[in-house]
Amino acid sequence: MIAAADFLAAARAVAQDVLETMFFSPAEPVSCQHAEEFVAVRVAFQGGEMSVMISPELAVAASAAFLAEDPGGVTAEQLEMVSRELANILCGAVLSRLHPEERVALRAPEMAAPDFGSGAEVHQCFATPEGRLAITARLDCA
Amino acid sequence: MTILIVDDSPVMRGFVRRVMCLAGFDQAEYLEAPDGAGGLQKARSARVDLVLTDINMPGMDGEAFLAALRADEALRSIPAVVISTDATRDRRERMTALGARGYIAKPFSPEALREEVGRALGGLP
Repeated sequence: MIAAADFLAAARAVAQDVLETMFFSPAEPVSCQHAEEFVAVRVAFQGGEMSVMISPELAVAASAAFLAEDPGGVTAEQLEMVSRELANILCGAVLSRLHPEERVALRAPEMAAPDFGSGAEVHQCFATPEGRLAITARLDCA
Repeated sequence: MTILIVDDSPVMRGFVRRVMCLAGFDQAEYLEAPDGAGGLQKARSARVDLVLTDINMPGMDGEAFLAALRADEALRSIPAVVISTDATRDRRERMTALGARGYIAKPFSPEALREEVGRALGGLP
């Protein structure tokens, strides 16, 4: 079983590292401010599920940076693929940090409806120069 | 030099290829496959000098792919570096036991990938 506080602490550290290292966008934890039009990806794992919500502006900028494309040239399909990759990397890195001795078991990331954390013990928003990102986790038996 | 990138995500394959080019492998020829079975097919049909593979893939995953490479006398000497979201010790040890010469966890910087590939190849170009 994963403790919500541990997951939240890991998510805060990992999100900043992932966004800066592979998507070239510095991020910092902020208070919540989100909207329903965020791009959302859900990743199920052994012990729960994690949702990553990305503001449209950040989704385009992160996709462009990841693909080395002009933001205006990013297609909807590319944006979804990069968003799924971002969620996959975030979730894998969080779980690896929480349980470095065990294997990470992730399901394939899926596009989903945004989950902004109503009733969830793990929720954190991040601000970047290009837009916002939110993480919600729902943990089994937490 | 021919480099085979095996990952089920086309955007990740493109990212790895770009980072490798930035790392000095811009003259290499790149082959790509979406899973282990496709990777094995490419490795058998071309002379591959380096394999970069993910682990979690549908169909033949990275573990089965590395095992198949090592079981094939013609392919077993190809250096392989694993690129995965799984940074756990158990997984690293398992992939190393299967013959991986390098292992890099996502997120990774271009410099980190360059160093790991350099180690796997015994030197950088």
